[in-house]
Amino acid sequence: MIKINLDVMMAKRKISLNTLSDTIGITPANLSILKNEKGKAIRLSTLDALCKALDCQPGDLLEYVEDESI
Amino acid sequence: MTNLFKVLSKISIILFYVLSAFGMLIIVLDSFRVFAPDSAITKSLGEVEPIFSYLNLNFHEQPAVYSQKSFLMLSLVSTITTFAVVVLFLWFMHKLLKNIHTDSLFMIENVSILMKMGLTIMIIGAASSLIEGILINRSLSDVQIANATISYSNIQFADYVINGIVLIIFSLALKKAVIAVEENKHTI
Repeated sequence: MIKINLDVMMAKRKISLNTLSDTIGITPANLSILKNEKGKAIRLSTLDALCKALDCQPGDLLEYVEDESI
Repeated sequence: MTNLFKVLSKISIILFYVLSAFGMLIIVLDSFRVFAPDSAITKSLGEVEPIFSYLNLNFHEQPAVYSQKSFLMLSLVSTITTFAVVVLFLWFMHKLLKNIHTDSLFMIENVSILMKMGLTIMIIGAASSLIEGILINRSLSDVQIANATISYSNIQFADYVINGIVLIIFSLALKKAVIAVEENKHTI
C-alpha cells in the first residue's frame, strides 16, 4: 500500500493544515483527507503543489509499504 | 439549459398521468368487447375500429374478422402492450430528466433507468409491434383486391429490438462513464 507522509513533512516544515491549504489552493477538508490517508487518488498537479510548498520530493510524501497479511 | 430538463421532466410526468388514465379507459372499454360482447356498454361503443401505427384501413362494412373473439382478444393485448410501452417510457424519461436536472447524467441510478428503458422497448415494444402486425395481417385477409395480393411483412418489431439494444449499450457505456466520474470525484 501507499503510505502518505504528509503529516511528517508538515511537522518538519512547521506548517499548519490551514496555511498549507491556502498556499496550494486545496480546501482544508480535502487536504485533511489526504493527510489521514482516506483519499483514493492524488492529482499530479496536487503533488506538484505540495512538493513546491513543502520544498520536498514526491518520495518524501509517498512511501510504498508491504500490506500486512492477516 | 437545466430548466429545459426540468420542463421536459414535467411534460413527461403530465403525459404519463394523462396517458395512464386514457389507457386505462381504453383497456376497460376493450375488455367489455371481449368479455361482455352483449352488454349495453359494448353496444354503445359502436363498431370495432382498430387503429394501426403504420396503416389506415377503413372498411365500408365491418368485416367478419373484427367480430371474432380471438381478434378482439389480440386487439386487447395489443392495446395493453402499446400503452404499457408509452407509459413506462414516459415514467423512465421523467426520472432520467429529473435526475439530470437535480444532479447529473453521470449517476449510477441513471444506468439502471436507461437499462430498464431499453429492456421495455426491446421486449414490450417488440411484442406490441409483433401483435399489431398479426392484427394487420388478419384484417388484410378480409380486403378484396381484383388483380393483386396484399400482405404486411411483420418485421417492424426489429426496429424496437434494435432501439432497445442501442439503449442497453448506452446504459453500459454510461456505467463506465459514471465509474470514471466517481473516480475523478475522489481524486484530490
